[in-house]
Order: sequence, then C-alpha cells, then structure tokens
Amino acid sequence: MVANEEQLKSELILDELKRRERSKEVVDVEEERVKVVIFICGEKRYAFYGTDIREILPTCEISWVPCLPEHLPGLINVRGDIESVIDIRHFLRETKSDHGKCLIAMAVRGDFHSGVMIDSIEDVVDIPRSTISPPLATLSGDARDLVVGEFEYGGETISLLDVGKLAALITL
Amino acid sequence: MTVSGEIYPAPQDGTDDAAELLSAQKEQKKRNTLNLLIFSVAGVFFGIDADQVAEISAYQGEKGEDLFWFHEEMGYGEKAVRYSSPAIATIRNGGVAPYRVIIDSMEDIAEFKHKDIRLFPTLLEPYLLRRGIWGILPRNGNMILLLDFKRLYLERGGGNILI
Repeated sequence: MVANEEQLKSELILDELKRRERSKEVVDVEEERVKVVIFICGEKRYAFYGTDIREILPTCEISWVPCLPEHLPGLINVRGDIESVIDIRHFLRETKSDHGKCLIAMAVRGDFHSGVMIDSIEDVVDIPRSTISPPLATLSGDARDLVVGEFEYGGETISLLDVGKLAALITL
Repeated sequence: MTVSGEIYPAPQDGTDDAAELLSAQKEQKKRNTLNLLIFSVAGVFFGIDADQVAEISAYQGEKGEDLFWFHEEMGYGEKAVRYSSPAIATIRNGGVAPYRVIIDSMEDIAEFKHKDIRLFPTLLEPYLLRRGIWGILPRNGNMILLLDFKRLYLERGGGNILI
C-alpha cells in the first residue's frame, strides 16, 4: 500500500508537471507574437513593427532639398527609386548625430513610404503581443503622438513607434 | 520604321519622303525631350526649362527691385551660400514683365528625355510643387531638381515672386 501510495504520489506529480507543460505549449501556440525592429536613436532604444520596415539601408548620401523643414533632410536614391527621408530625432527630441553615420530604415505602410534616419540596429525579435503595454501617460510632445506601446527588452523599456502615426505627423 | 522606340507611319503616297519623316522625327523628339539649363547653388543642382530663360548675363554687382538671389528665392534657410560664378538669368514670365534671378555655376544646357525624369515621393510632392520644384533628374550620381519659374510665380499669386 505504501509503495502504491508513493507511486501514486509520483504519478500525481508527474501528471501535474505534464499538465503544466501541455498548458504552456497551448499558451505558446495561442499567444500572438509580433516582430519588432529594435533600433538606437540618439540616447535611447526604440522599435518599429517589423511589418512596417521593408529594409535597412547602409549609410547613403542624402540629397538636400531647399525649403523643406528640418525633419525632412532630403532625398535618397534607392536602386533608382527616389525616396524621402525623415529625421525622426526631431520628433523624439534626441541628439542629432552626423547624417553620414546614420542608417536608413525604409518604412512602408499603405501609401506611405519613406526612409527614416536611425543611428543603428539593435535587434529584430518576435515578442508576445501581450507583453506590449500602453505607453506612459507622462510622455509629452511629439513622442507621445508616435508611441503606441512599450515592452521590456534586455532589462530596458523600449518605446514602440507607429509608422502610421509618423506619417500623420509629416504634414506639409 | 522605328526610331528611339517610337513608331512612325509610312508616307501615305508610298514614296520615301525623307524630309517629311525627318520633320516628324524632330517633332516627336521635341515632344519627348526637355532642354534644360543646369546650374548649381551651394552644391544643389537645378534644371530649368531653357525656353523660360530669355537671357543669361554675368552678374557685376548690380541691384534692382526685379533682381533676386536664387537662394533667397528658394528658401535655403540657414545654409551657408557662397556664389562662385554668379550670373543673371532673365526669366520669361508669360507676358508679364520678366524678372531676373542671380544663379551660380552654370553647368550645361542639354536635352533630356521625359522618361528619365523621376517624380518626387508623394510625401514631398505637394509641398515642393508649391515652390515650383516639380521633378528630379538623376545624373552622374547627383539629383538635379527641376524648377519651373512660371509655376513658382503662379503659386505665389502671380504678382510678387518674393515669399
């Protein structure tokens, strides 16, 4: 009886462990994940949804165009296609570094497409959508208009920026 | 007969009317090309329709109410601008009195095909059109901004070209 009881106890523990494992698998399968492109801009890390970023271009020459506002530094030639460039640091109130050292993230959402100047790429990762929390109410200025959420990455809180909101900010 | 991708009909009477064909070719070419005056100001290249320019003359320090510096006209802002070889372009202004713009570093007057002209990204086009800049011509690794002085004049109300 004792042996049976001990066996049953171990069985119970095993069953419990297996049940937990199965439920975890179910959770893993069901939880929606989103790809994000994490980048550095000025002093902080930010992210875009991966679906909004077509490609990252290496440092390239930006042709300045007179009479454009400061946040539109000019044009780039992407394999024969002329694209605009947005200096997102203007909206994020980040320190501006040399244009020549920047990368260009090609952002595309619907009819909107433009290069976005960033300092460097940190990572491209899939994160559970549930880990994205609403943006802090304390955000101010244009940054508040751009941020759609926040998530933890490498012990740091990353602001998730929305390309659609960026497009809306570029009002000429 | 195919010339530069365009198809020309054979003469109706069946004769090889070379003069007529040549004339048609010239007309077709004229329709598909633009004669541009290329210049640069502070490292930015511009192209204007040579037909809009009535006269080019050297700038010799003259002043006048109808004489404008190009960089002031185009909104260069705080960008440092130095003219190395300034010249006065007298712009035809559609029947109204012509006005004069001081440009710099004239590069070329050359013919360009319409098909080589690129549109501005949709994000910028409405804004730049209001300032007379209507297209881009990639050339030798540079972007030549195509400027229509007549459009600029009209966008600003047609009376005073200054901002």
